[in-house]
Amino acid sequence: MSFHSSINSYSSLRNLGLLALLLTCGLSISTGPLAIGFINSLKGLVIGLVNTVTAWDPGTLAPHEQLIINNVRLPRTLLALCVGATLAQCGAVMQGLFRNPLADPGIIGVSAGAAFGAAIFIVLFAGAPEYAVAIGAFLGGLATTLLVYRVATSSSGTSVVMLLLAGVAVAALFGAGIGVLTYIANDMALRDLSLWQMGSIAGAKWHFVWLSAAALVVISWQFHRSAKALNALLLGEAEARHLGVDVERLKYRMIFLCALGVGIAVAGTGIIGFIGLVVPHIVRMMVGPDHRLLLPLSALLGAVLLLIADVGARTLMPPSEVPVGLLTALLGAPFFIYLLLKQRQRLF
Amino acid sequence: MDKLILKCGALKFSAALVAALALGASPTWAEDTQRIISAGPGVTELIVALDKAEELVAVDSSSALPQGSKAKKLGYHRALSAEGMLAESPSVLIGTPVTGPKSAVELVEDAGVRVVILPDAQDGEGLLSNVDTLANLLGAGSRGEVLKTSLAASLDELTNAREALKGQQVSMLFLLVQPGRATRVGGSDTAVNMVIELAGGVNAADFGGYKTLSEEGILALEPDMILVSFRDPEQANNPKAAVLEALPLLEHLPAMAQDRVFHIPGTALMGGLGISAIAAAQDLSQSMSQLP
Repeated sequence: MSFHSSINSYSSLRNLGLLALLLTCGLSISTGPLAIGFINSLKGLVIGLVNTVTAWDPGTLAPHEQLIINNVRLPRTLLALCVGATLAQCGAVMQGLFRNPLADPGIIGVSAGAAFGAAIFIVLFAGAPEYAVAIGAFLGGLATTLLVYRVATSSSGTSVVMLLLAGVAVAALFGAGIGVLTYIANDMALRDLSLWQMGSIAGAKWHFVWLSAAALVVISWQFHRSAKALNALLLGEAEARHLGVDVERLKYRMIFLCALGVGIAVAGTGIIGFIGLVVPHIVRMMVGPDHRLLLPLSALLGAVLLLIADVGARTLMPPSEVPVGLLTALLGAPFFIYLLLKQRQRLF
Repeated sequence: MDKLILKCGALKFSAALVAALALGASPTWAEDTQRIISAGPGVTELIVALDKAEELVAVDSSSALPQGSKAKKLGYHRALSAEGMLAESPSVLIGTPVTGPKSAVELVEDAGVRVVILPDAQDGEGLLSNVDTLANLLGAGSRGEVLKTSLAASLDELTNAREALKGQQVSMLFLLVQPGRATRVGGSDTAVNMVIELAGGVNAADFGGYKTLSEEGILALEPDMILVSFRDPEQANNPKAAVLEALPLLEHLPAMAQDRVFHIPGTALMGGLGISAIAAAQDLSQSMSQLP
């Protein structure tokens, strides 16, 4: 595919993606166990937004309906959008950096470390406020990434193979740590822990929305700046170096931007798997591996998929909620198997 | 007869309750009905006992509902969905101190739903005061008094039974038998421990929480009685056979050889001092009184 035709298909895909995003946002605002209706929900959204500036209530919605739109559906819609876009972009970058189609945003240990950090607070500090668990998850994720990075870095630079192996080893270590915590946990902590690991957008808080939105802006901007360098890296590290890319610096920046993005996402929602793995592959099948196209489209598709999964989470078993991480795993795991099968065909 | 798997304690209790309700309850149907959300198995149990099951519109997933109840299941009582609750247009949400998340409960309250948090009953007094609160809140009239009287009578009976033991130590071990998995034993801060203590027994496991124990470890503790809880009614009716099937070595335990296997219904183990926990303790106490 020539660059021009891929640019053309890119802009039409981008417009399609934006349209899909708008529709799924509308769907997310208007869907839930409380039947408010599509048009009324959108009216409620407008009223709610205007109300943040000036007091205005035409009485279209009952007060409790307005409350649900403002305090439940709007924050969770925005959080799903930000987290989906972040995870998908981080996945795309990690797959590019590791030149490995099976890499996901957690490959640098950030998810395992975050889960361990959260588990410490859930089990050992029972009754700790919710934000303590989030902070524990974020710090755990960041610290683990730092550890993995240190293990893989020697005087001759950072070895991608070592990063991969260190990531796997550290994930196993923290998996064992979570096992120990699970063993000593009481029933309540056990339940919290398992729910946390399934991930949910249900309790979306505004401060998480703002935090993950800020993270999304920062990583999108930085990834976009590095898109060409990531393309060069696809040729191989030596080749990228010859093309003038500061490969070590690129690796360092990408890894820590991912740790930041994924760390904040995980802290706010728990572990939501497979978005970061699956979405970049779908996009690559459509527009090829050029990161300049791959990254923004992954962001769009990631947001759309997580929004759809979250709508599913609240409509499958009303009035209770299904953890959204279960739905993304149900969606992603079969795709993962498909990837493995494809990989096998290529190898043999 | 030293057969210890007795059901009659629970039957006696329910019969007494039904009789008391029939005698004592004047027809007070006039109170306006509520749309109740109950978040906690103990709370639901009390609401049902106050004959207000029909007013339940939604309960948490571990609450047991009487047959024919149309109440919806809300999911885990500490991870409730605000919108899910509001969708049932409740007039009152009754929960426990752990009902959550807080943000969801606050939102429901902000939407104009009355939120009542019942404290965890640590003793009989706490339980009776919770019955009072609920009876007043739901307009249960004399049913509240009747329920209180029968609960107080049961608790008194248990106290008497404990005193009758005169310091006799009956050690017991609660086994959580799971097919294909290691057996876990209920320690000192579990719901089953409260049932054991109410009945006047001694928990042979002195650690906290549920811990995995091998058959050898169970044999070494030499409990006088084995307590189990099965979900499968067939196993529940013949707990000894079910235990031996999973843990054949326990055959060598005197408690097994002497048929001292006692089944506790799962509803009694949901935590907190409640109606089923008291009933189970009464059953257990009955079994203990027949020990040689």
